[in-house]
Amino acid sequence: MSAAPDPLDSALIERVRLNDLEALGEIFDRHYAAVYRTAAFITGENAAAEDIAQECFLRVHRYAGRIDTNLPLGPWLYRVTVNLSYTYITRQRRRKVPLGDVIDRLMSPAGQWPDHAAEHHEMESELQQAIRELGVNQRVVIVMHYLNGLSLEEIAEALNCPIGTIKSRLHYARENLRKSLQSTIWPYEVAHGYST
Amino acid sequence: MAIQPESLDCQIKRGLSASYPVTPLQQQAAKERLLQAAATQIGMAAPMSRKDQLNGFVTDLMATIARWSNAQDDWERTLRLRLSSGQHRDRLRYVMSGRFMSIPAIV
Repeated sequence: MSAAPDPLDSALIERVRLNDLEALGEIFDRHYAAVYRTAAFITGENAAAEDIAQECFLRVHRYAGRIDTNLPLGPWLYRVTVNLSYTYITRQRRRKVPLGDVIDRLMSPAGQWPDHAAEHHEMESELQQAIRELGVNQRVVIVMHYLNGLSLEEIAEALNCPIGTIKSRLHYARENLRKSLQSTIWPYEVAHGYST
Repeated sequence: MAIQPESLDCQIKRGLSASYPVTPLQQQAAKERLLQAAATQIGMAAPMSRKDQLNGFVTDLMATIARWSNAQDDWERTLRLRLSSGQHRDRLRYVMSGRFMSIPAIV
């Protein structure tokens, strides 16, 4: 069962249908961070995430007439973001990377990589690395479930997959992350002696 | 109290929420790019950024000042022309003497 739509999102979509760009700006303000971070986690690249987020909101404008305002906007945005991210990754795989670029990248200190610019915390960095090492299907489910807060049913609907497939991907993704992170201790939480 | 490590779910949520932060400046720049692209999509002028709005305000202000200046130049030119041709000279004397309230406009 889908969650109820946010009335403000629905009202804004109605205005976007009339080419009200101010309304598009408001939708952008409300959802940009989540869309951008979803794309960033899936692609692992800041620049790609910015482009994908921009295209996602352009599609809100272009296809506002087709968006069902009786459903929450979030899952629609995440589905578009995930599809654009899949497309980006597929294209990247086909691209041949010049040998010189690979050597430069390998020779550079990790902290100077653009993708690592925002990584100030070792554990966040480890988690990002662990998520990056997941297969793209598992990565998508982890991001949609834990970052976007979507239920398994909503993810299945967004990705057009059986719910059993989503459960399986989430299970294996969690197992893989557990293995990757098993040596990581989170001192802040441990020091305060609680867990959930 | 027993010290327990954080659960995997919490680790994932915490790590995800702390990564890839979006700064207000980054968001503002991205928003301006989006609105310009959307405006292009429908053939409209894009809504202006704050910088553009400020530039527009300054341009309008300069234009207004220039219009005032031109209007003043026109007024002076007209007056000089009329004075030089002998028109309104007497009325101007009234103005200069402070009794201008009793006469109609001089130009």
